[in-house]
Amino acid sequence: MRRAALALLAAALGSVALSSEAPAIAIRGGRVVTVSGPVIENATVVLQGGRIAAVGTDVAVPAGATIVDASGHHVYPGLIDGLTTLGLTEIGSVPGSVDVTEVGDVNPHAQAWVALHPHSELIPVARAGGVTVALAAPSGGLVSGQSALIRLAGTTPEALAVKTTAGMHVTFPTGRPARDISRLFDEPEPKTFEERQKEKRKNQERDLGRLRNLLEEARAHGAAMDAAREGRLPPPKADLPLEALVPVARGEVPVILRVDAEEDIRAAVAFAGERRIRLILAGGLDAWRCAGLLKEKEVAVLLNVDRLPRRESDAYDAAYANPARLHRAGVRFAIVSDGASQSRNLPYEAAMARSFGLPAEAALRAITLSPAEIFGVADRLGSLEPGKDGNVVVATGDVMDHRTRVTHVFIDGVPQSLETRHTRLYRQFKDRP
Amino acid sequence: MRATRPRLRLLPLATCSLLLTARTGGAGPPEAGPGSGSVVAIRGGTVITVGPRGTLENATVLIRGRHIEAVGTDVRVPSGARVIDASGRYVMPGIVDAHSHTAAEGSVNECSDSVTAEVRVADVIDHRDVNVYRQLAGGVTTVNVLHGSCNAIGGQNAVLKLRWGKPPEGLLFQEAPRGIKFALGENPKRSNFSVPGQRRYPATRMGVEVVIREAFREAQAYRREWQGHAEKAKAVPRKGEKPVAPRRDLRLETLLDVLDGKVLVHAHCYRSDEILMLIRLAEELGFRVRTFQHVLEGYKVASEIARHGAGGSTFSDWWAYKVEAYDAIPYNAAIMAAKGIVVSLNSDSNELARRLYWEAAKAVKYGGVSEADALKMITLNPAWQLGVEKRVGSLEPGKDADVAIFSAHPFAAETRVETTLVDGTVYFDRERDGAGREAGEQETDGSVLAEEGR
Amino acid sequence: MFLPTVPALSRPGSASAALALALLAPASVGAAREPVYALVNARIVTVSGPTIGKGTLVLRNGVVAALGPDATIPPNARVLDAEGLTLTPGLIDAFGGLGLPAPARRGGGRSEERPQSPAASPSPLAAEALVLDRIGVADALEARDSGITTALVVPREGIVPGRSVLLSLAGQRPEELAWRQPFALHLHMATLRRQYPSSLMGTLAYARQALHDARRYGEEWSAYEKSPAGKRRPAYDAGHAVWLDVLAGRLPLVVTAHRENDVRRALALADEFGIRLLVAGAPHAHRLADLVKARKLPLLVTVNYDPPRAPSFGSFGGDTDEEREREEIEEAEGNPAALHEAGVRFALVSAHARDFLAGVRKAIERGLPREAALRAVTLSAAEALGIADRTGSLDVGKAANVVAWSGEPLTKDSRARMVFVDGRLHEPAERTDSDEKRRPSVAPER
Repeated sequence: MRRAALALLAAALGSVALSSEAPAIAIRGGRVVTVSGPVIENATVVLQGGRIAAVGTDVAVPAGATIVDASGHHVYPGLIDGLTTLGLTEIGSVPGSVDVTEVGDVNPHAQAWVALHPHSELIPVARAGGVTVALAAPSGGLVSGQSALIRLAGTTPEALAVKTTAGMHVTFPTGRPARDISRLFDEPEPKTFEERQKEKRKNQERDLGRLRNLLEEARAHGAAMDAAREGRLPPPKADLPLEALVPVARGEVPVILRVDAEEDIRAAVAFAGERRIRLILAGGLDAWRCAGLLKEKEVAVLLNVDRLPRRESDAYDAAYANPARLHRAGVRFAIVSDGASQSRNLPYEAAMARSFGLPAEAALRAITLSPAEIFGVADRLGSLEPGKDGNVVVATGDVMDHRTRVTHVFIDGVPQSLETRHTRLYRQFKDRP
Repeated sequence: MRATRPRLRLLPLATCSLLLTARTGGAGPPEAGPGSGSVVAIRGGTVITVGPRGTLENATVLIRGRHIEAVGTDVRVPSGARVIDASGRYVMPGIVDAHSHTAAEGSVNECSDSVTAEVRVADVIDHRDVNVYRQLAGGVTTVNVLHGSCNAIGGQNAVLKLRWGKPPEGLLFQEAPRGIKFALGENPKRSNFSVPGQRRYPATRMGVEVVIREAFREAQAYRREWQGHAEKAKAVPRKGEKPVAPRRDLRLETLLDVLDGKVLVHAHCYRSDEILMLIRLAEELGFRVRTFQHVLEGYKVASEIARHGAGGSTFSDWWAYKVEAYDAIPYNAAIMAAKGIVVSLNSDSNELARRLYWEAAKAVKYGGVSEADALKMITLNPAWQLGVEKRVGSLEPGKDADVAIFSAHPFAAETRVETTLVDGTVYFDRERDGAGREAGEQETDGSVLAEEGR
Repeated sequence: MFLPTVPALSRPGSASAALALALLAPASVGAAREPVYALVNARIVTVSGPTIGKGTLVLRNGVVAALGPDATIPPNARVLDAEGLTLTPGLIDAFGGLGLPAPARRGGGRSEERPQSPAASPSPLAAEALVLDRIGVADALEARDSGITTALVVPREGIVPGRSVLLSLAGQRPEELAWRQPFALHLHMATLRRQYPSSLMGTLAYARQALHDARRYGEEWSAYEKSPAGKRRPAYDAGHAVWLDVLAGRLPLVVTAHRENDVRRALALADEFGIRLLVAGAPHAHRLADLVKARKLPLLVTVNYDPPRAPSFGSFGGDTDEEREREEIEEAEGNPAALHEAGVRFALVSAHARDFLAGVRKAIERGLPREAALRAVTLSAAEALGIADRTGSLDVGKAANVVAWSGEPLTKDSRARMVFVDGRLHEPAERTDSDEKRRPSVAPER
């Protein structure tokens, strides 16, 4: 009992440092879906020191370990949602609670991790659905800022952050005017289709030029900083935005590029090749049309599945079948919620991909190991293997089945409360006369 | 290499249906509709009737013309019937979406005034909206296309059957009673957007109540004016000069129809207090709200809603997009249903409408609704809410042959809609769709784009 | 160029006084003022009948007096050699913006321009408005350089922009150009941004209510006129009065359809109230060919295939389906040919396009036979407008509206060398290509 209380205390404090003192946990008797290897029936997962200590049918359970009976249940690695605004948004319509889009087109030095709200009500809700790690990303403008990979447990931004900089978010210039709800009732000037096309191309070229210049300047700025460090030149004038772009220009930090249209994807891949930057696509609705190119250039895609097709002439299941097509072509991808309040439905996006041709194991991988690989954390996340972080989910059945309930969530070996705003309100009102 | 889609050149009327095909990938025109007597038999599947007979294994749904003639395990299939083999599949009633804005041309919101009862969604149906087809591919057969939530009292909705390919009149669900949209809360009081240079009343929930109350007061005065005129006209001797009738006001006439129970009220609402406000006001004025839509705090006042007799049409689990949605919980449907409210789950979105079968599954997960009751939330319950429960919502003899055939149980993790029928005609079939798609949907190598200079 | 001259000051004396009186008396346009013309050696495309390979056309008193291979030339006729020229009836633009000022440019986020006076920005809901009041004669007359002799003028903006006027392009003051005034009441299937109706549903509800109001207005006034004793006098309402004209069949309603279903909506409205209907625009009317034929609906088909459009709310910054937009424009270009193939009679109209004839040529390029195109801008247009008894073809007795083309009519290089309107000759100045670009022959829409 005391150990359980300690575990709860550790959970409440959310400090990773304490997890190594948390008691060992043995999750026993479940159908263990490791993702990295075969499914193991009636197996045990041992968590100790914040990590997965052992996985198998014949593992030693440490003395004094808390036993979690998972018989009749499925055991999964903690799910990873590779594109969200978790921690950056609370109520979408209330600007005071939203920190997703900064003013201005170019904000490479804006860092999501410093703006994370660890006490957001949305985080426990996602966690109760089995999501244990998520990408918290800014958006908007041309260069939105740096996303952070976060664990969904912790009381400070530092505690949340798995990686303070996971990628640099950029929106591929489409040339269309930005959506501006305040201008909804304005009287915009009527334009012909040809005029709008011309304007779009002009805007697109201009913005691509800006991106090109930014990266070139960043490269030069980086070289100047190196030279200053080596004493060859006086230090360059401080420039936060450029400094933030130096690792991007050097291919050390990937660009996570929001793009959907086929012609834009091709242009983006060419641009990335020309500038030697690492590219991850976000959205990628037309990705299946250039799967070969993406495979060849090793560009990964973050796919949101529950979307309408882009064109009237597209097949009705264009977005649903997208992951299956990429899978067949050997392109690496993750399935993402691209939201915050609905991150808990991540496994259901994977389910839709599965209904439309994606093999079940690949669907599960797309919300576990693949995003871990894409963000360079596969050494510690994404599968049930000894040595990895103790992120585990136990569910009453197939996690991609809408009827399944999640019964346990562990993050860094610490059991997580599944209490949410929703469960509290449910209890408060379900028996109201 | 890319197979190009047919370019649109000279298009005599005969190729009009090809136009539809070219545009919408594989969405070809439906098969020739059945004559009044043609017979279709859906055979060998697990039939979820949603009716009193429950679920029948290895059963047949026999369709004649527009209607279901018989459902059972030992139904005789007449010779000459077209047989749809449903072995290994699940057959359920076509899904009814009680909150939609699909297939409408232009805006579904007449935002310029707080009361616009005279406008009609039925006037602006866009029968070529490809989302109609996409919803068929998700098993939907009936939709309630509502006016938006810009106004405390909006316009009249249109209930449609998704008879893809028919002209606009052909999509209207003729037997559906008329309905109107009310909206409470943040949207009609414009909390989240503003028109420059314009501050439209109301700006508070107080004002929303005033708008509705005043509108009906005006309608009652209008009625008295016409009654006065009728009396005067009656008093005039036969050869005498008839008095000129008062001005016909289409807006107030519609409100009178609401008071007379001829028009079903579907009220968009979120917070518990506004739900109670409308119950109070409706009862004072003498009409009943048919459904509370969204009703995300319905769980807080479920007994009051149940006592009033309104249905609740809600989301499975959307929340936190507005302040009034912050207390939304995915157990809403379960709690309301437990209190005896007729609950449906809706989409309010072309995107979500395609997967309502899985939204219903969430009611099982949250609050432990039985699978049978959860399926009712997307079939018979919304049918009742729209006043068409005698025609659709379950697979029972005499009802319209609106059927969705799934590859597995509608709630199963790998399920998919294979075939959808409306009025006994197949309007979506995945195999036929696939045939159309293969031709136009190869991966490209970009050469076509280069040629087009893009 | 022959224009009616201002009469010189007359000297006292009965003969001159009589002449002065004759000149000053209100006259039909150009009465006995213009010369008698005989165009000889011309190729004459009558449109109503077979083409005359070489013949004579006589214009007198504002009408076609004679025509044929051996028509008699009156002794007092001014003989014009039309060797190498092709004569056609004057072109009719049965729905456009001839002579109207370009619509006010909206701010749309830019700095405020000087505020428009009410006269310059007409009300979008004004059945009582008369387009004739805003016509700029000089601008309108420029259209003759393209061979246009007759035009129905309608404002592009608004929902109910008011009543149009049918112009014959000869005269100095707007009234002199007015052939039928007013011609029709117009209803655009459009919406307003910040006022009712801001949705298409609202526009239809507005029209319905307007017709109900007009009906009552009519009842009220006729009851009053029949026996005013004891009755409060009704108020005069200019707008109601116009809608009443429509309801009573005195004025047709022209509905501008942008979408396929707008045609259906127009028919439904006409059916509900029993009014005379024409439909203009209709870029996808070919999809409804059977319906149009069955209802004998006069159709004024647009050649403005890619008109300026404000972005719709749905597409605000979001991903638009450009493929579909492109296809719709192509479909509109092929619409006239498709209608023709389906056996539908229709007029081709500029619908405020910058270049009417270029639009007509595009329709030909996309499969409309040239002959059919010519009929669509002459006789079919006259039929649609209900004036085929007086114009639209070269027939004896019809108005002397004739164009002499330098080459095959409706080809790119063919120029209008002579344009007769009501028998008065206008010779377009020689223009180079750069002139053409700088001074378009129809009022620009921006």
